[in-house]
Amino acid sequence: MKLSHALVIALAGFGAISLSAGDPVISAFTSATWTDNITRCPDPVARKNAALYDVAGSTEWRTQASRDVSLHFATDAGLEACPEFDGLNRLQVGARGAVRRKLGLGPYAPVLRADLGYTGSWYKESSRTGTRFNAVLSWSQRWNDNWQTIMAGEYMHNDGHSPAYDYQNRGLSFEARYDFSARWQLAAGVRRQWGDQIFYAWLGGSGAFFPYDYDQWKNTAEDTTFGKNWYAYSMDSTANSGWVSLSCALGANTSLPLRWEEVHVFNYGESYRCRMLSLSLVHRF
Amino acid sequence: MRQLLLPFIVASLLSTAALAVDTVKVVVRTTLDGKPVADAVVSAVPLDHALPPTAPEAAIEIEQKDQEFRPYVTALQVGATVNFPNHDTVQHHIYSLSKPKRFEIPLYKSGASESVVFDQPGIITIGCNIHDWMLAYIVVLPTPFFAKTDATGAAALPPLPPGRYRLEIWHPRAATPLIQEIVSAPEKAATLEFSVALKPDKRIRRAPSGKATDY
Repeated sequence: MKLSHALVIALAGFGAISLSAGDPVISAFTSATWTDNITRCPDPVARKNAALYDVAGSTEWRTQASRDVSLHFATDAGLEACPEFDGLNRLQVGARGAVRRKLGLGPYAPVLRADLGYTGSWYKESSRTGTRFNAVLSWSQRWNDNWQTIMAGEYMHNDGHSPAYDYQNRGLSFEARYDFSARWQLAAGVRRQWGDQIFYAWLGGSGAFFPYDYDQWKNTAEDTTFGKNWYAYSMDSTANSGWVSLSCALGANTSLPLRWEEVHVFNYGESYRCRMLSLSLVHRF
Repeated sequence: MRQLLLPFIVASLLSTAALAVDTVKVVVRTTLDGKPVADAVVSAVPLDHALPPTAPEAAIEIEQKDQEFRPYVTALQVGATVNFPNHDTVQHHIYSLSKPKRFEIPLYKSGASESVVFDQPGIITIGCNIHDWMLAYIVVLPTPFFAKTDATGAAALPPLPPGRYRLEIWHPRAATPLIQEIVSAPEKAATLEFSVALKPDKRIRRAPSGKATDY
């Protein structure tokens, strides 16, 4: 049985169980993100920055199987637009399933959670269109009314129309959250990913002289999203990320998180840095 | 805290000699800015005579609505029964880990209701094991003379039979209860004002967090 078939069956199982639970929780999400290297390009001369705008919604059903175990099933849909590079405009539709096990009673009991997700993305630049499977195993612990920590291990597999977008990686992350009050939350986290990462190279102008490590390139394909002479490729790399987020609660079900994230991706011969600043609005109906 | 309250308590004690009362209204305000304090439980325990026999209280209700407990603070007399109706569309799992009454009401659905008898005095914190932000307090009192402050910070105790009483004021955000002795005499009424220093409201955040980038 193919992995994708097994996933669809697993998610359908989550859905069948969870849909019987009753009313779903509907959430809406919108964000504006600025990034200084949307091109994920090692050549500093060729790098381009851009803004991304995202609107998404999700519907989540939850059923409590026992005191400690709950099953979750969610469907997601969203639109993302990039006015500078409209090839990045995309529609995303996905489904997620999760099992959550709380190890004890009360808010300070640790929580173990396993998530499976399957998402389809349709880009204007069709070579990027594809599906993504991700699995996350997380352990969260609230230490007191202020502090909470979350550790997670994750796996991601992306299948694109173009082979350049066939890649997979795995990672470990740690996030600490501090609630100053019911209104303000500060969070900071780090993540390391191993496996393939997407790179882009501009082989015109300065790119003709940039010391790319062509021997390490995998699945190269021309990509017109950023203009002529741009190429997409994947490379076996390590990605280190760090982020800080300040979230303001606008009532019991709405928050306004401001997030700064920096990612360093490096291979033996090539590396790039990407910084992202995003402001989001999250509302749970 | 005690130092802050001392002048006020002294002033109040001095006044109790002339203020022998049977109808007591209490007004509670914050020490910091004088704002009214809601949800403070005021109780009076007789010091020199036995408690009068009282009929059992009718069942009290703490509902779950919009994934919160309502009311936030409930005062009741020892032996009272509390019903916990679920008026939400989701399941709840109520528990208390507090010494005076440990209990668990396993998963129950919308429309269902469970009840618990509170047979020991004390402060009981209740939560929901599914929705960690849900929090409420039950103050179980050994006396029928109690009241809870409203939004204006005011609470009126039931008429007190003559005698000496220990007046106690408890609030979830006060470090310690305020305690003062009062004397009750027939056909006297008084309003006693108290100020209390409140700690920050440390409830677990309910609002959703942001989502990660899909880098």
